[in-house]
Amino acid sequence: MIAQFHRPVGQAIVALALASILGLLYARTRASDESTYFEKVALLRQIKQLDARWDSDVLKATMGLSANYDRLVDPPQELNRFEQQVEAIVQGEPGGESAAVAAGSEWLRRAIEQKTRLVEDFKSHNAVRRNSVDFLPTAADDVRDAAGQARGTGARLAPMLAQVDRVLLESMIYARVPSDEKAAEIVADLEVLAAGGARAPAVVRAALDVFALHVATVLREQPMVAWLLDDLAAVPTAARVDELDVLFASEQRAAAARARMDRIILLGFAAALAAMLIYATLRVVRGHALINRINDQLVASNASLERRVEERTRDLTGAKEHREQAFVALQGSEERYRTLVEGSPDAILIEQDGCVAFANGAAARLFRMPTTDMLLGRSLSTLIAPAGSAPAELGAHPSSVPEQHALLSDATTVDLAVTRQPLDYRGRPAIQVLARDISESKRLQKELRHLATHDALTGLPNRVLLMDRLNQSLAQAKRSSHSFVVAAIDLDRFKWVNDSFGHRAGDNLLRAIAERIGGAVRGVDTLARVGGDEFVLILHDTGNLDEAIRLLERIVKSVAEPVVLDNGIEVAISCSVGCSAFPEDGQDAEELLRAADAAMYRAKESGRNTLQIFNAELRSRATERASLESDLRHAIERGELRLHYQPQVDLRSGRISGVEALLRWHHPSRGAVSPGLFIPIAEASGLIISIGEWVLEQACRQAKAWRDAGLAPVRIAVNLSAKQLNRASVFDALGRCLTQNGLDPALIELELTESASMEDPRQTIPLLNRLKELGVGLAIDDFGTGYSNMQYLTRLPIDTLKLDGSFVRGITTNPSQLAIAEAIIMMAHRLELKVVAEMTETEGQVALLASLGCDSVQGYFFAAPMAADDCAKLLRVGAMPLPASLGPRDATRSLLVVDDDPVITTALASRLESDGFRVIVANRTEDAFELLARDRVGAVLSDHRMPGMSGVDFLGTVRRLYPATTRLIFSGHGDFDAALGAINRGAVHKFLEKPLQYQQLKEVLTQVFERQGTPVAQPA
Amino acid sequence: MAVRAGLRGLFILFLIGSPTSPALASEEPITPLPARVAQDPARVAIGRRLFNDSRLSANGAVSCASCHDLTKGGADGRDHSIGFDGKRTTVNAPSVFNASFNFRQFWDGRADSLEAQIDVVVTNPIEMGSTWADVVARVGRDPDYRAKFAAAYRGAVSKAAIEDAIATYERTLTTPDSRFDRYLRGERNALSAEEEDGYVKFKRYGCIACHQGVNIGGNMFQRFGVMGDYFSDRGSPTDADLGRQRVTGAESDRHVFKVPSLRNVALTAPYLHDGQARTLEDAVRMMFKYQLGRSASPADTAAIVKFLQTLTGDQAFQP
Repeated sequence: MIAQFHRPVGQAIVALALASILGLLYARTRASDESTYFEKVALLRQIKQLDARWDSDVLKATMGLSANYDRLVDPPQELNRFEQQVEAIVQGEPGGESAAVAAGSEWLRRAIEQKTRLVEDFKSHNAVRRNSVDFLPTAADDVRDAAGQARGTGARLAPMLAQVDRVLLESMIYARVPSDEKAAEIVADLEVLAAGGARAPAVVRAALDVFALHVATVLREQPMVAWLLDDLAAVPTAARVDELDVLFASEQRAAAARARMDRIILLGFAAALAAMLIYATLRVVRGHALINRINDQLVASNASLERRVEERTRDLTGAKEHREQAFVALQGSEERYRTLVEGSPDAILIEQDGCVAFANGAAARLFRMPTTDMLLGRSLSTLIAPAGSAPAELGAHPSSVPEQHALLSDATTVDLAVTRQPLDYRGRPAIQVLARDISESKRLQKELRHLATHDALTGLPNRVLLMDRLNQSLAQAKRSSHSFVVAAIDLDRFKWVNDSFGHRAGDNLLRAIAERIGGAVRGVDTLARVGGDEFVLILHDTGNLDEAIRLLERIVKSVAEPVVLDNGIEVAISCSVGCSAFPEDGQDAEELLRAADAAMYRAKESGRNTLQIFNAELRSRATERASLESDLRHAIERGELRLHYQPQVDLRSGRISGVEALLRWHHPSRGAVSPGLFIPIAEASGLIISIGEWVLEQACRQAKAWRDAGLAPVRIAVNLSAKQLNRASVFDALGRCLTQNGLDPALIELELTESASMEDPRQTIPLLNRLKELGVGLAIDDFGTGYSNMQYLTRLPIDTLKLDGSFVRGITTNPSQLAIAEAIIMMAHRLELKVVAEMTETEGQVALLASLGCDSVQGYFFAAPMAADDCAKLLRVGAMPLPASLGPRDATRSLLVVDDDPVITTALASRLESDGFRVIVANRTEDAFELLARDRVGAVLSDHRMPGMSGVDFLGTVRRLYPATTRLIFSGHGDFDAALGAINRGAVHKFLEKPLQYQQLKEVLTQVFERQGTPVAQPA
Repeated sequence: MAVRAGLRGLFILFLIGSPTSPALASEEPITPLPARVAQDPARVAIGRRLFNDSRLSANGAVSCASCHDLTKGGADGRDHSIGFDGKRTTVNAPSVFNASFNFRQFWDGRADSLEAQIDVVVTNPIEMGSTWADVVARVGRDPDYRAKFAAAYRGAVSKAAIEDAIATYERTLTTPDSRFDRYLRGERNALSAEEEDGYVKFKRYGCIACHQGVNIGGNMFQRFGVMGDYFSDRGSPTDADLGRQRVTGAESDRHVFKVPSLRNVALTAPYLHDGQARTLEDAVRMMFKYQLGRSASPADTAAIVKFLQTLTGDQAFQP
C-alpha cells in the first residue's frame, strides 16, 4: 500500500520538474537566436558602411581632396575586428559555425586582406606620382635657369627649351587626362629632347636628366595608380558581405523552422506530462478507495506491465523524432548549399585534371551556354584568357586576378574578376574558379569619375575641376610672374529660351554654344560650365591684355550668331562677358572670380551682348539688382507675391499625394518676374527670411482653407532656404503657423536643396532634427545635382528625395542617366526614403519611372503649377488618370518598327498585324525612345539610314537601356560592314537586307518570339 | 544583380566627397598631435616599471629603456642597438615616442599593434632573448608586482597583462605642443620666417608626399630608392635591407619600409634603418637623392633642417 502510494507521488514530482525545465527551454529557444541574428546583421551593415567610407577616402586621396593618408589607416583593423565579432557570435550560437558560413567568412577575410594590400600599394604609388607631378614645373624652371647660366649658348638652346615647355605641358595634361596616345607622344618628345640636349653644357644636361626622370615617373606611376584603383573597385568586399547576409538570413529561417518544430515537440511533451500527473493523482484517489480489495501481487505485476508499456512507447516516439530531425537537418543543409551555389550571382566552376568538372547556372549564363552541361569537360583556358601577363601561379592561397577577359562562345570578350582556390572535389584535388563580370562596373566607374569633375550636359569641366585648374594657374603664374585672365560668360535671356521652347531646346542650345566657345580658345585654356547658363574661361599666359580682349570679343560675336536647334528652330542668343586679370584684379581664385562676375553683371546692365573689363568703379555697383531688391522689399505688403501649387501624383494609385507650393512675383511694371531672378536677390539680401515665413504662413492658411472647404487633407511641400534654416525664428514661425491653423504637422513637408542641406551637415543635422520634432516632413530638393556625402545622408532625418529634373529629362534616351536615376531610387528605398521625380513631362518618363519603383512624380505631364482655386478643383477629384502604359504589359509577339519613311512603317505594320503581331511604329528615333519607355516590346526593328542618329547607334543605345529586347536592323547592301560590326558588338542580333522580303522578316520574327517564349522583363 | 550591386557601390563613390567645402581645400597635410590622453594610472604605473625592468631580458642585461631612452628622444643614439648578450641589432632603433600613432610597428611593419611589438622584442634572440614562461615567472616572483597586477588586472601576472601594461604606458609617451604644432593651431609666431620657409620647401619639394598626417609619417609604406638605387651605392647588402619583403615574401616589397615619423627627429640621430645618415643634413640630402630624384641646394637643406627642428614636442615625462 505504501509502495503504491509513493510511486505516483514520485512520478508527479518528476513530471512537475520536467515540465518546468521544458517550459524554460521553450522560452529560451525563442529569445536567443533572434537577438544574435540581428547582432550579426548589424555588424555586417557596419562592415559595409566602413568599407564604403574607405573607398571614398581612397578616391578623395586620388583627387587630392584629402591632404594626408591618416583616414586610410584604421579601416582594415576595424573591418577585421567587426568580422571577428561576427565569427565570435556565430561560434557562440547553439549550432556552431556551418561550413558555408566558415567559407563565406574566409572569403570576406581574404577580400579585406586583398584590399588592405592594394590600399598600401596605392598609398606608395600615389605618393611617388604626386611628388613628380608637383615637382615637374620646378624641374622645368631648373633647366631654364641652368641654360640661362651657361653663357653664350642662349640662342643655340632656345629650341631645346621650347621642347622642355612642350613636354611639361603634355605631361601636365597627361597627369589630368591620361591616355596611351598622349604617353606615346610624350615618349617621342622626350627622345627629341634627349637628342637636342646632347650637345648642351653639362650643367644643363644634368637638369634635363632630372626633368626627364620625373616625366618618366609620371608616365609610369599614373597608369599604375589607375590600375590599382580599378583593382580596388573589383575587390568584392561588399558582395562578400551580401553573401554572408543572405546566408545568415537563410540559416535564420531554417533555425526558426527548427525552433518551431522543437516548440511543438516540447509542448507535446509538456501536455503528455500533465496528463500523466492527472492520471497519477486519480490513481492515488482510487487507490485509497480500493485499498483493501487489491492484492499486492496484482498491483506489482500491473505496475511492471505499465512501466514496460510506457518505456516501449517512449522508445518508439523517441526514435521516430530522432529520425525526423536528422532528415530535416540533412535536407536543410543540402538545400542551403544548393541555394548558395546555384543562386550565386558569380559564376562558380570547378576545374579538375584541366577540365571543367562542375559549373553553376551563373557560369552557363556568363559563357552564354544554354545549359551547364555544355561547359563540362571543356578546358578552362578556352573559356577564360588572362588579360595581359602570364596566368597567376596557384599556391596554397587563393589567387585573385582582378582582370581577365573571358573568351565567350560568340567571340566577344568581357572583363572578369577571377578568383582561384584549390579544393578537394570528390576526393581529388581540384581548383575552384569564381568569375564575375565586371565590364559594366568598370565602364561605369570610368564614367562616374568623369562625371564628378565634368558637366554632364556639355562634357566641359565643372566647378570642381575649374577651381582646381584656377589654383594651378595661380601657382604657376606666381612662380613665373606671368599674368592670366579669367572671364565669366553668362548667356543673356537663356531662361527665355528654356521657357518658350522647352528644356530640350535649352540643352541643345547650351551644347552648341559650349562647342562654339570651346572652338574659339586654345587647347591650353580652360572652359568650364559652372551653372545653368554660366561659363568660366581661364586664358593662360596672356602676353598682353589686348590679345585676351580681342579673343573675348570674338567669342561675344560668335555666340551672337544664330543657332539652328535639332527641331529646326533658329534661335539667336547673346552673351555677356566680364573679365578680370591676375595679378591686377585679385590674388586668389575667389577674388578673381568675384571680379569677373561683377564685370559680367555690368556687361548685362549695359545692354548685354558685350564684354566688360573689370574696373575699380565696379567695386561699388548699385544698379538694377539694387532696384529689384528695393522693389522686392515691398512686394509682400503690396500683395505682389502669390503661391501656385503643383500636384505630385502617386504612381501606384494615381492619387494626388501632395502639392508643392511655388512662389510667383507679379511686379507692377515688369510683370511676372522669374523666381530664378528674384530668389537669389532675396537670398543675398536676407529678404528670404521674411518671404520664407510668408510662404510658410500662406501654405498653412491654404491647407486650412482647403480643409474648411471639405477637401481631404493633402500634404503641401514648401521650399526652405538654407538661410531660414540657420535662423531660430523659423521654428517659432512654423510652430505658430501650425497651431494658428490647427494643422496636423504631417501635412507640411519642408524641401531643402541638396547643397543647402549638405553644406555643413554637422550643423544642419541638429537643426533638421529640431524641425522633425515638430512633426513636419522633410525632403531633399534637386537631389543628384550637388555632391552628397552618403555618410551624412543616412543621418539626415528626411522622408523624401526629389530626383532632379535633369536626370528625368534624359532617362528615356540616355543609358547613363537611366542608371543614375535607378541608382538614386534604389538607394533611397534602401534608406527607406520616398522618391518624387521632378519635371516629368512625357508619358515615357512616367512609365519608366514607375517601372523603376519611383513613388510619385511632379511635372507638366500631369499638371502645371496652378492657382489655389484651380488646384482645389483637382484636389476635389483627388486623383489623376494614370496612363495605360503603367499597367501590366505583355511583350509577346510585339515589336517596334522604326523607319523615317511613314509609308514603309504603315505598310509593314498593317501586314505584320494581320499576321498576329502587335506593332507600334516610330518615324524618328526620339519618338522611338519615348515609345520604348511607354510600351514593353520583345523586339525592335530599325532602318539603318535614320536622320540624326544611325540605326546601329540607335540600337546600341536601346541595348544599354533595355538589354532584353531583341534588336533587328535592315539596310541596303552598302551598310553591310556597319551592320556586321554592330552584330559583333552585340548591339544588333540580326541584319536584314533591303529591299525587305516580307516572308523572311516574318520567319525571323516568329523565331525571335519563339525563342523569347515568356514575356521578357525590362528594363535591366 | 552583380551589375546593380556594382553600380550602387560606384554611385556611392561618386557622390561622396564634397569638394565645395572650403575647409577641405585649405586643410594642412600635417595635423597637430592631440593632447595626451589619460590612461588607467594603475596600469601605467606597472607599465612604466616594466619598461625600465631588465628582468624582461634573458640575462637581466637590458630593459626596453636601454634602447628607448626617454632622455634621448625615445631612442638610443646608436646606429645599431646592443642586445642582451652584446650583439648588434639588425636595424636602427626607432623612437618610442608617439609610436601609438604609427599604423604598424617596426621598420618593416611586421607588428600590427604595440602589444605585438613587445612580444617580438622580448623573444627576439638578439634583442631580449627571453621566453614568456620565464618572463612571467620572474615578474610573478616579485610580491609587489603580484599585488599590483592583482589590483589592476584582477588576475595573476600573465603575458597578455604584461604586454597590455607596457603598451598602455607607451600610449602616454606622446610629445604634443611642438612649436610646429602650435603654428598649425594658428600661432603664426611660433615659427621664425626661416622655419616657415623650410616648411614651404618641405611641401614644395615633395617630402610631404610621404611624411604627412598626424605623425608626419608612420601611416604608409614606401620603397627606399624610388628614384635611385641606394643599396648598390651603399654596398654590403644585409638581410634587413629587404625590408617588408621579409614579411610578405612579395617581390614588389623588396626594399619597402614603413615611412618613419619625423616627430622629435632632431633628437634621434643617426637616421635611416641602417643608421647611415649621421646628421639631419645627411638624411635630407639622401632623401632628396634617392626618394625625390633631385639634388638639394645647401640653402634648401638648411631651411628644411630648420623646419625639422621645430618638430620637437614636450619631452617632460615622469621618470
